Amino acid sequence: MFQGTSPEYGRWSVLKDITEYTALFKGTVNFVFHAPGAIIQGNFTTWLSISFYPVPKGETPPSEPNVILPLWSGVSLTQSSPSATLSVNVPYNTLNATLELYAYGFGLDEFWYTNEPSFRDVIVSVDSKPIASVLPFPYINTGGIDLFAWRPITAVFTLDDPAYRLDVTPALGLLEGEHELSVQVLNIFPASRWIISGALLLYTSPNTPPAKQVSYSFNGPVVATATNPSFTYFNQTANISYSYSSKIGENLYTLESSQSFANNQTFNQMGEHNGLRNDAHSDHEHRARIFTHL
Amino acid sequence: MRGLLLVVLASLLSLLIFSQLGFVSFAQPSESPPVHPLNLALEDSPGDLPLSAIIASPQPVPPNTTPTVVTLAAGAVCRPECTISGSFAAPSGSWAMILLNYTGGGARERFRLGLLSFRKWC
Repeated sequence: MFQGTSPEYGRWSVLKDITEYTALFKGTVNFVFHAPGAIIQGNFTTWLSISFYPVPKGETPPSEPNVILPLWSGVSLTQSSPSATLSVNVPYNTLNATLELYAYGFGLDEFWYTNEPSFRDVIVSVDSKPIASVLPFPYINTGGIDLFAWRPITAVFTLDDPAYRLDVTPALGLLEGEHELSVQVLNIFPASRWIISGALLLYTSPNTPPAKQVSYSFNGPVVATATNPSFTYFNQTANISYSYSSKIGENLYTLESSQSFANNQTFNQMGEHNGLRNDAHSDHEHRARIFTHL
Repeated sequence: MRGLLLVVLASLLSLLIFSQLGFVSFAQPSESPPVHPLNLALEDSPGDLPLSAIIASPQPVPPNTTPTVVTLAAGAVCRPECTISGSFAAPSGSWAMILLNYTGGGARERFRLGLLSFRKWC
């Protein structure tokens, strides 16, 4: 539920609203705080607390997912082992499902957008059928690129990397019941690893009927690469499109997604970068056709 | 020629000062912006390690109710890396907001990644 990179030194404080995980805070709760550090002859100190704020009088608590299925927790994917698979059992009375995914490259892929090839895609599949494609965001660690550039304000999202979120309600026809769920990172560079964590956040209701898959298609990624013999440039583009829909009772839920990726790199005669541009766009359009009986 | 240059520079300087003062007088709010108490954790106090991170994004604003606070770690020292794990009894109640506070301090060299996960016993 929380992932990030701390500063190199000094002190810092991060507040994160974790109300959407309310379902986890019942009875005995186990927690793990893992800080795989890169300290050389140093140390760091940790304070962790959770504050539970009661609902003010006269107000109602926020509506949060009532079932949370933990998926991967800090799984390390590499070039030789680029995917991880597990079994999930999604209840047959699910009304709404959100996939939450953390993906972060390290090693030589800490700066994956400067590598050749540069295209990376995180794909989540149900029984080998892809249902989600995530074009990763170029996170920069607090010491990234320039050790001294990130004080006092760190790079975007550094201390609290938000998860990639996708409403996968239209895939419930594939997800409900017991299935194999896998995550794969495409084109991991040698001497690199991608840290993957994730969860399924579900709203269930006793009267909800099982979902039926109505349609499914997944195309891509279609990758094009352009370079020259003297290697003064290296450009890549990629396109992905997918759509699927599920019927829950009489209601129809549809997802149509199109993604594009473009990365242009130029080099001088020494092979050093002298230009870099990375663009990634994801358009996810969700539609719900809800039937009501008047 | 040099005198003329000085006059031009002086004029430009006064114009700059005037425009800045004008800007400040118009832009300055009539009263200080409210400071959320949670932001005080980000402020340095004498004797502390240097402040190394100010978060640009707005902090979550909890409701005006008294929270039940569960402390998971208080000044745990790791060198060079660590895993802190444990369990606690979740307080019972109906919550408007659940807020995680991770405060850290580091000395010497570098520290890279922090991961936190919760697992519920089934």
